[in-house]
Amino acid sequence: MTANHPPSNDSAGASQLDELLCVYALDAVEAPERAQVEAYLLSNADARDEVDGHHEVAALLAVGTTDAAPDAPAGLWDRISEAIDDNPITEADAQQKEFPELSAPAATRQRPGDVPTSSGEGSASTSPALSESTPGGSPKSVLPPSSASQPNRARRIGAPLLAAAAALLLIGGFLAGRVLSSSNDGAPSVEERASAIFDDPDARSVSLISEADDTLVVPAAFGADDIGYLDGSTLPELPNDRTYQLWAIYDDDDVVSLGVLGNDPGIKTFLADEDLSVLVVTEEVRGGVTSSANGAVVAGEI
Amino acid sequence: MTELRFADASDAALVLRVGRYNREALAEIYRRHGGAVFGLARRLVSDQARAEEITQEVFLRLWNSPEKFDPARGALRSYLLAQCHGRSVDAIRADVARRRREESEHRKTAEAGYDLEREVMDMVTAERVRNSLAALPSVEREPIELAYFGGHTYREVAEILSEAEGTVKSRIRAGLKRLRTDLLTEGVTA
Repeated sequence: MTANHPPSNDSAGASQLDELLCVYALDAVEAPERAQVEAYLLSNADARDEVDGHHEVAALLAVGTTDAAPDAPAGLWDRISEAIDDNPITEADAQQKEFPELSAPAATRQRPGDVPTSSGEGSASTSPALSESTPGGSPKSVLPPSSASQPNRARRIGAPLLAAAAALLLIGGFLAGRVLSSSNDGAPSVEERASAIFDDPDARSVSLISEADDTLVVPAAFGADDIGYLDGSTLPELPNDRTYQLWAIYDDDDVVSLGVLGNDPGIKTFLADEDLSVLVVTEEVRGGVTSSANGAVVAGEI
Repeated sequence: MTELRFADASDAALVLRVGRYNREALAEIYRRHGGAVFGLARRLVSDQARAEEITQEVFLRLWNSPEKFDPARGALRSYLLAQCHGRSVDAIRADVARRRREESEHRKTAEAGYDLEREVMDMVTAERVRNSLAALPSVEREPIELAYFGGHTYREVAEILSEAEGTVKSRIRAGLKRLRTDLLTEGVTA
């Protein structure tokens, strides 16, 4: 938590909004102020951190001083389950998702001062399609939801599978971020951990390669904690309105977005399930996509 | 494929599975946190049926939008309780507004309904939370209770306590920071 928020175009307004963060976290603001604060939070990471800290304390208050029911009411889960059946996720809902960037060391996570460059422009369009570039000859591709076939998915509704996978991506990235952020006190940095994993001959690893440019190799490796590390520093920098996006293909053919990597990625972390079989990086519009029609920039079979 | 044993899985791993539409994972999350969510809702809205509705909303939201949960920003329980609190407060305010429309009753003096003696899920955490809260100066504790457990806006809290709005904001902020320091440095997490 901090009050040292970056200066804003409207420093007086920002100061007033800073003062509202604590009461916002307790849901103690009225609707117009809530909207103002939420808009402010979108552009201010320090403010988000402060609200997160307040939320954590509020949760402790709730858990520690509330007459919590050890078991929620009987039958409530059944009603939740029925509601899930009655309200399938629509594709339109899924398409509204926007993906934050995967966790990364602070030094490489945000680059507000970056100058747009065209050095990487068009790399996806010149790359082979994923279905062609996936190593091992497995005919897997990053398909739109309507094309994805998931016969073994024990799911009643035919919701957009890739969108769901895309949601997972985001979660995967954040999961990794959680693990890393919670071990910051004196623990090795992300770069140090990644370096140790990359140097460990016993670590599971994979090289993501480009069929268009055999000099382009992106290493990835997996720690014992199911956290994957990807060194995207060899990827060409993209313009600011573009991003690299990391995808996973699982043994059951689930295609899952693991998160956006940004336009100039360095070391990135992601959650790696044991049934992960292929990693793919595509180039997308900034913010990422729920399903990609673009070819792989690099791909590697694990 | 490795089968995930849900009972042993971390919250984060379970949310990951929810992202792949695994209902059993959501069921396990509900088993772990449903009681806490329902307990908070019931405390805030004081109505069993409404508390159940809110609990249902919270878990359906997690099912429909698991990507909204950001493990980098806090524990799953914190997230669920924050969702629960927001919906409960909305319900309280909607109910207050309805009552205001229906009858011109006298404005009630806020009661935080605070009861430190009741059972809680995690007794160790509860004791530390109680101790930390009790150690707060009353000028910081009261506005926090009125806002969080009473569902009042800070302006309402200021009116109830006859304090300036800015004073209430600064005291809530100071109190929350003090609680965070006390609790988190002891390793107490939500």
